[in-house]
Amino acid sequence: MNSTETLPLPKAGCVPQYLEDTSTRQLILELYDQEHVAIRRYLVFLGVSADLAQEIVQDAFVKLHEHLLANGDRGNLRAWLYKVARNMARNAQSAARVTRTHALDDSVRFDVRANSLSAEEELLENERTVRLRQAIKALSTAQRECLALRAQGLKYREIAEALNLSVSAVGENVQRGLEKLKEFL
Amino acid sequence: MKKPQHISNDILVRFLDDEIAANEASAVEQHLNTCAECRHRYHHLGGVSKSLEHYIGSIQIEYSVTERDALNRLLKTKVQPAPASRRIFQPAVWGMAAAASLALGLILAPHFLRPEEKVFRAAPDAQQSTALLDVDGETFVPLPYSNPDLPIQTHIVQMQVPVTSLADAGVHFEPISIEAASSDESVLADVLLGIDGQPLGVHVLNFE
Ligand SMILES: [Zn+2]
Repeated sequence: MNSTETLPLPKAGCVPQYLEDTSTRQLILELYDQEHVAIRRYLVFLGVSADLAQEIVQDAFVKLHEHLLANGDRGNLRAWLYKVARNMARNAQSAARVTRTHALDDSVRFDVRANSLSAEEELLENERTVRLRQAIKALSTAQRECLALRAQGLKYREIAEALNLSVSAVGENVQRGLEKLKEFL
Repeated sequence: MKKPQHISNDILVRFLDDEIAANEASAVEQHLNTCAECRHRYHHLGGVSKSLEHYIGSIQIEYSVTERDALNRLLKTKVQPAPASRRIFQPAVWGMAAAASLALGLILAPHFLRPEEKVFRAAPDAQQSTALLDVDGETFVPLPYSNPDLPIQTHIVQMQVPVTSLADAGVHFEPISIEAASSDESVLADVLLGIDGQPLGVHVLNFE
């Protein structure tokens, strides 16, 4: 069974070019600084515990490092990170058979000063926040996930990539999700 | 039903998100300038959107700078792989084939093992049972066809894979029973295709 000879060898042009490690690490740390809080918020919003979210984000960036060293696609690293983080969260949750705890739990802490509002605006926002929690409960999982990524500034194309949906499905989830929230606000 | 001349929420939301063609956008803009009802709906949707962004943005995250340092240290320890060459490529492939046979053995064994005959067993020299490919959370047993150093693409097709072709792929089970080797048995599997179009890995879904 000497089939070694029949194995296709890499063509000359196909040999991946490896990146200089320091610059790859720099790139990852830059992305980390930009995104890690947002990704953790996204995970917590989807019902992941804060501790697990921290772990997942750390792992996701290590995975990104491997992805880049393996000359993986650099086209859309943000969408890639969200996708991997989400899949890791789902793996972890199904592995541990964790009962899905919603982000709407009162255990999730909110920092109302985060967006530096005036006292009046703050009060108004707090009221809306209570109603929003109710509204978010009414969303389907797909709507919640699409809206969460949209809130992080991802374009429909990027959301579609992260969630394995078509762009038009993303548009529909965003629209229907906002319509549902609108009924409460 | 809304009056047809008004703008649907679908289009309003895509306008809000800048996910609309430029000519469509200017038509929406024109309409919004003249129609109070649509303008109201538009602002309502925008307000809801802002509130949700604020809500998510206000989720408190505790963070210590040691986390970043830990990541940085971890990344520093990762050694970058040497460029693949013909000489080192072949042993690497056979290492993967051995791993594949072990892993496939693990996956298939429960289906194959009958009380009286243990047909399939992993190759005894297989070592790297952890060499599974992970594509966005789905695990694949590597196959030796595609260059494993090429970037993995998430091109996955589901198909019936004859057991014999898995054997032909260098994924061997020892000892291979004559019965199974000559059978038409096949497994339903997700096949991961490499960037070169060659099968890169297989995730056996069930056995018929
Ligand atoms: Zn109108």
